[in-house]
Amino acid sequence: MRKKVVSVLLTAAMVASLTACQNTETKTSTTAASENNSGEEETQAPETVEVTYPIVDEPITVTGLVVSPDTTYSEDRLVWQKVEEVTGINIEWEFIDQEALSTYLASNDWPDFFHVKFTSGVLNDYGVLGGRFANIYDYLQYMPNLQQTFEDYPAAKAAATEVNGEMYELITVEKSATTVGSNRPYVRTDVLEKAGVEMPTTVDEFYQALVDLKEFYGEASYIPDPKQSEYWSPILYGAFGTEVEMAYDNDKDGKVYCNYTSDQMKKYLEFMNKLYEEGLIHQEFLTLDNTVRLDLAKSGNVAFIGGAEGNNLQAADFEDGEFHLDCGVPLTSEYDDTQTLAGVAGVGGGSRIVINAESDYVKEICQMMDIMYATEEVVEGSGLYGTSFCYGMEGKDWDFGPEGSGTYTFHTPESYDGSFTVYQYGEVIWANLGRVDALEGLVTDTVSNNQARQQGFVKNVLPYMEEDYFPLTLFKFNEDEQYVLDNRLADIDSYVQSMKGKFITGAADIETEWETYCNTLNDMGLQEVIEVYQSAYDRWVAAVAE
Amino acid sequence: MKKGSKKISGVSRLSLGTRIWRARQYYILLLPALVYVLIFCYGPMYGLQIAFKDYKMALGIADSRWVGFRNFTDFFGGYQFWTLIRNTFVLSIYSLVASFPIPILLALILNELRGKFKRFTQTVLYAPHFISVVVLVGMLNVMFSPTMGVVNTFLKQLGMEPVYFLGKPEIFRHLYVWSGVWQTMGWSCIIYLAALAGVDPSLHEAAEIDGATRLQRIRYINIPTIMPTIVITLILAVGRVATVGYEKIYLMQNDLNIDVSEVISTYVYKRGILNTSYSFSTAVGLFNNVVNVVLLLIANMISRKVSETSLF
Repeated sequence: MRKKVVSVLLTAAMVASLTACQNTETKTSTTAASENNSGEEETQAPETVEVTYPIVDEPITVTGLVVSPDTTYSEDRLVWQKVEEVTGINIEWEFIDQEALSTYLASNDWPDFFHVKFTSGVLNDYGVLGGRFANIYDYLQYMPNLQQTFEDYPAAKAAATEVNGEMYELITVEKSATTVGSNRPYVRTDVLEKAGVEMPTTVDEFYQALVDLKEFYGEASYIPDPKQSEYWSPILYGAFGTEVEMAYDNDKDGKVYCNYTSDQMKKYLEFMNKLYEEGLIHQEFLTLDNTVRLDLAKSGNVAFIGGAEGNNLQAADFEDGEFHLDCGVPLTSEYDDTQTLAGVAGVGGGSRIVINAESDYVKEICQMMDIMYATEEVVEGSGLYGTSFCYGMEGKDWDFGPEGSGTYTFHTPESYDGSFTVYQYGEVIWANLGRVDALEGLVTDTVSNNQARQQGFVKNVLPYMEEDYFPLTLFKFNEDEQYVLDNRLADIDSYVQSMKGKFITGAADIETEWETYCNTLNDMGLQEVIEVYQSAYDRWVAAVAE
Repeated sequence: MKKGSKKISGVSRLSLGTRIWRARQYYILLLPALVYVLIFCYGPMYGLQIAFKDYKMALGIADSRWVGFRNFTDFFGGYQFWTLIRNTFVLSIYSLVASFPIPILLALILNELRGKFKRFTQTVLYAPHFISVVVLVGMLNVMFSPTMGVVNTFLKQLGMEPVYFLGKPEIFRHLYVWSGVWQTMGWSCIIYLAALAGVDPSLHEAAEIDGATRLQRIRYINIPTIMPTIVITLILAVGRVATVGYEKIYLMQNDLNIDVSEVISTYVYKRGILNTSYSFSTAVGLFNNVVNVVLLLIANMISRKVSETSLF
């Protein structure tokens, strides 16, 4: 009897607690609606207020949070010290690990601003729904450099504007020799030369090169990207038709479509399957870990490699101690004789600045952060402007090379043994920020892996990239759209990824199973996903055109 | 004796307060554990309600929107639901069947060994338990690689074709289960060794005098002695059938074996945690736990009827 009474009480308690939770539905909807209304009012063009330095008459102190910084060398950064010097605003930095961020946000004990790239979920939760982040549009009149950046890069404004019309993030605009997106077809030219093989320009030449290299070295000379989306994958895929995007794209009328089931994808996978069957690509490319991939790249027997390898090869890995690292050119074939690659937005990478709406110094922080978008030094002799938030102060940490040389020079302290990257992220900046376009198209004059790759991009990749791009990663979604994506996308992406691997390795037969693959994707709701992307794309086009 | 009170095993039935007061020293000793369970096991159950909500961090648990069973129907109606259920149960039951009896056999064998050899064998068997899952999967990758692995090198020397073990879905389950057996059997047998240590030596002496062989003594003395431990361990194991840890599977997973390696926990990790769909993750976790509790109750009931040994 006692057990029954306890059971009834427990059940009643559970039902009561769940029923109590039901009462919040109306409240949340109302909040969202009011946010939406206010957002529409906030985007009106402001009048610009001239900013003078120092920004404040009396020094003030603000707190900033950095997530998972490298504090091995320093717990401050030279660029931010210069910012403090120029603006009169002292910054006290706080550090937490990435894993602790959610808990930190839930604590409500926030700093004045965050130096972190939040997920869209956090922006939506705390910004759109919670109203906890400052709406930058309210302070745009104090940010002339940001206004100018939005004029120069309309995509930056579109990418920073949430679905409610407000802006919570100060995003990064980056145009450099390495702004190439997924187009990184790295190749070891010494491996080609040793075997007497020319850099391929067509699919047939690529195939023949692999045959010749295997004959010469006795092993496969191409390690494909396991995800089939980067490095040589888009280069090869682009050769089998006119499409350059491997996933979603839009046509000239603005209609969004998906390339997962296109004939071009089928041809590409058939070609990859042929390479796999003939042992011309590494048989374990789907399961190799990065260490093994790098070791294979270092072996001197593999020519066509991916990012984990290309980014990490050092001079000592080459027989003569010199970099023989390059990029391949876009390939042509009987299906397409144009050499084109997918374009990239150049916005939205790097880190972000997000300001606490409850800070006492939102205006001052906005004025301070406006320096990140300046195209010339804000105070004469300071060397501080947008590009500084990636590379440091001009004249101190780097300089333009001689006019017409197409180069720039990094100045690295001797203690860093020539590695500017370590110095850059160890002492100069926390992470890339702001408007970084002063070095667009230029390469470093320091002999390094960076230089070799940059030269490859400038010569063989950047000239072939389309101006248009499909801004998939920059889309903003409303709650209903996000719900569709949450329900559909994980299954679709996982299935496509798995089937690509199976088609290439022959675990699934392309001829007999292609139709089933296409039908399965439709059953999984691919069309719904395309419709969501269509809505997001339409909004994007409208935002860019504003 | 007061009216209504009964005498059980010679002890008068007293009021609850009196009994607690009399045993207060034991309750004080129990208190830390009780507080721990209340804070860390029952307290967080408040958060279970987000399984029925569209949880938003900024709004908190109480203010997030109530969506009823939407997260559950999303999971049940998902394209992969039945695949996930099948893979989870097949892998879990296979693991249970393969890994449950081996530690018992091992304990019975170790119990018969004596001296330094026994200690050495035990150490060798326990050692894999301390290898991290990441290292274990790394070892599997290296050992079973078609181009560099020791297994395929051996096969090639025998004139056989190399096998892409890690990419073959039909091999994945065996690799997962038997590598787990190898890693856990030594550690898992400790509980049975402890139970065997409680066997009354006089029973063995009497059996020896009666001419019982070693196998007969194991069968008629050792196994019956540890049977309650075996039953309890089995009931607890059945209560975990719907749960397969995601770390090892996730590390072993690749595009070629995903049809058999995608289980509920890996799916929840990808969709729930990586996409920050906390409500969805909680709903699936709750579903998992309900299935586990039902299985545990069934196993407990069967055990009580068959062997008279049960958890409660």
